[in-house]
Amino acid sequence: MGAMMPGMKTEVRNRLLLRIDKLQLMLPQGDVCAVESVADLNSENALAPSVGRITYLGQSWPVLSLNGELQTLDNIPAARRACVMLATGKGFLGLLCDDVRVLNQQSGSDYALPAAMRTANTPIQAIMPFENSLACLSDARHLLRYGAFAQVTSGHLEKEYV
Amino acid sequence: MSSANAWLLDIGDGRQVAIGQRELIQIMDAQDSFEVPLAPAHMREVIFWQKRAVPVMQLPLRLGGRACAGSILALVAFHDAVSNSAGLGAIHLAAPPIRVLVDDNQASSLEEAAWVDMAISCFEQQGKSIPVLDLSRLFAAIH
Repeated sequence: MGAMMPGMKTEVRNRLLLRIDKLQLMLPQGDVCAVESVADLNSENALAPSVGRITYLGQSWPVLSLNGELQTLDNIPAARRACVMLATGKGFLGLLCDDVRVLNQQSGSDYALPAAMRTANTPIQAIMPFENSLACLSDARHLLRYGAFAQVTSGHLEKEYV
Repeated sequence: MSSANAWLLDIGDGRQVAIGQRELIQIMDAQDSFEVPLAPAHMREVIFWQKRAVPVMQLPLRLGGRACAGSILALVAFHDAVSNSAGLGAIHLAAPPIRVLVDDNQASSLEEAAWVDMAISCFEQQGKSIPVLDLSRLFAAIH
């Protein structure tokens, strides 16, 4: 690691905190391209597992609704107000959440998820005590391999979705 | 005839297990634990202790029984073969641990096949078969 020169600042990469029910999900800020309003979601002719589509950068993209256990829902709970747009590599995917906050990375120390708690399909890579609760850390790469995310962004469904 | 001290742990659901005397680090309050989504049902909780994330095990759930409702945690140490370092885990208890002296005459075989992957040995104590936990396998395994 190079020495700090006068005037240099340590790069601080922010994180976004998504709240979905009681789940606090932290993602790198760079993994979220935009935050849209759930009011702009079009639920007509939604193709499962998505609950609708949202327009971003002039095109329409699928949107997923999850609960606090990261299980896919076929409905939109009233608490969901925001939709974060994740880049899939070939397009975008929306994820509904209750609210979104920008955090400074130095707001806490994260811990790798203990080996015994890791299941093959979990997108959660680390955890952090945060505001008297727990935050789960993931990123777009791991989310997009998980459950409904992978279903939407892979295989034959990809053409229909993104 | 050799003997050794062990801790008898009441893990709830009418079950008792044992660990080595030096494997028990501390008794704690379970109220400070957090649940992690998508973790195995018997290992959904985590606590933070001395800058470590410590998985908390519900042993009865691993055996297909009912979760221990007690608010006591046994903090235990084990050898983590992957990192070749000391690992930490916690086990839900229904009652405080009891220290017992076990000798070779008490050795027995495991009564339940379910314990084979989780116990290194077994002994008889007051007519009950007590599995001795293999903490390294319980807490280091990736499910």
